[in-house]
Amino acid sequence: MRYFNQASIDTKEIRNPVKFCPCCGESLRDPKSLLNLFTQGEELVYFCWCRHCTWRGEIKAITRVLAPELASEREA
Amino acid sequence: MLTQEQNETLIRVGKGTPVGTLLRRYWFPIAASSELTKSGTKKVKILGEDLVLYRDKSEKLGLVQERCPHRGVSLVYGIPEEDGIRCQYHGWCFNHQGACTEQPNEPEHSTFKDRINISAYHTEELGGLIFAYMGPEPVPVLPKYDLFVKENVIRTIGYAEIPCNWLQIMENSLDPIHLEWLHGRYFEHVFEQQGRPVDEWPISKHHVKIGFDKFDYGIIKKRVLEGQTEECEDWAIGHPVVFPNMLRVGDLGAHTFQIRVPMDDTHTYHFWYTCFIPVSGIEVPKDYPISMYEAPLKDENGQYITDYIDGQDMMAWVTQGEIANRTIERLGTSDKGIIMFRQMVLEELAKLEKGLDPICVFRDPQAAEHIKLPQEEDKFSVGDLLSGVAKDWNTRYAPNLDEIISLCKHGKLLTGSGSHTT
Repeated sequence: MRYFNQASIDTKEIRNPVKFCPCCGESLRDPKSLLNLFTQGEELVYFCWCRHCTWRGEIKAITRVLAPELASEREA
Repeated sequence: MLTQEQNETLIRVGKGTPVGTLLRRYWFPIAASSELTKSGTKKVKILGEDLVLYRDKSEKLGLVQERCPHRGVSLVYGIPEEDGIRCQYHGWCFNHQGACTEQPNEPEHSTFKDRINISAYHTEELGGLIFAYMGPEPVPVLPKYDLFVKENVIRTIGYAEIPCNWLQIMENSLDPIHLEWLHGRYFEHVFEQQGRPVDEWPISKHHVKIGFDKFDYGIIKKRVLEGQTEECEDWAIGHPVVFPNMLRVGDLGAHTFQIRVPMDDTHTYHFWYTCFIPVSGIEVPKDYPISMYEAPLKDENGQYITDYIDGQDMMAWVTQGEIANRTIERLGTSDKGIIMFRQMVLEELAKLEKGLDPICVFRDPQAAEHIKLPQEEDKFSVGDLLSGVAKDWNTRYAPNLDEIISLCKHGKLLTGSGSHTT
């Protein structure tokens, strides 16, 4: 979990979790692919674009399991 | 935050680099037509290459490498001839294709000149600008984006040499939020320091929502400000970033292309190409000249000039460093447009490497004819907001701004101004 400690963010560490394209398995560290980290609230999110298969998506570690759909249903 | 390697891919523009190769598929403006009078020359640097732009005695434009291959002197001081440019040092002459056509002091039947060529590139004029193409044949069609061919407008062209990489300038255009801070709250701070009234400034509203849509020519940038709904033009229409290097902004009274031309990895030539739109029913003179002016970055004390919108932008671009270090940046959710643009650069690069034309490279003249770009006119639900504050953005340096406003509002030239010639 230390990878996601924003208070002590370390660039070498936070780059470690995501290495490969989840679609084709090629390296996302390819200089012509894009692995762009940004912060969303408590979470670090990896925007990924793979030049080999053109897959695009966001990857983030799950630190807490939430069920917002159930909560929404209750409200309804 | 990016890896160093991915940052390097995105920022390098020299010959043989990935993005440098991509950018060589596009036409770039390099000067105003008015800068090159008959037999004139201008030194330009584009994509890492030092070049000389000239207009020869037959009024044809040429763009060649700056240094004469003979002894390396600068052809900026060369002599434009009937068909090409002659080196001022020993008289070697080069035509528009870069072929050496004369070596006056070599033996009459020498074939030496036949083995001498210099780099030479294609040029075209459009809308008062001179464009260059530095990529491979076949040469694509120069796209006629609407402001270059729009009728019944008054044009004025600002320029600045910005000492930083092109990408951080483009990223600013994919960052709508900076409007409310850099041009809103910070402007109010500058006004406070200058003793100007703060509450008159209209660009400080909070962003409720921002959005980015891919379209045929790049990315449409959209926003909803406090008090607006999604029905507003800022969201329903928005304004475009035309790939790879142009932003369009404006309102009811003025439309502007901001065009960023990478000179090298750490310098960018910037054009503000503005069309002022006259009020309904007014025809502006057809032969009214296009003025040109420099938008200054710093004052006489070396301080950034931050009391105008574009000066604030330039300060923000340059103070990130010559090349922004994206390995230590901390992006948030409001920076998704920036990430989208980075992806688009790499995506178009991938297309090129597969042998395809990237976006905005035109082969069909009809497709490149009068390309209408979307743009909100009811800016921030205030209408002619930007043209209303024309003296708070780069056009305040246009030598004929008062006359432009007079012509657009009342159809009248200012008597005795004489300021509009360039």
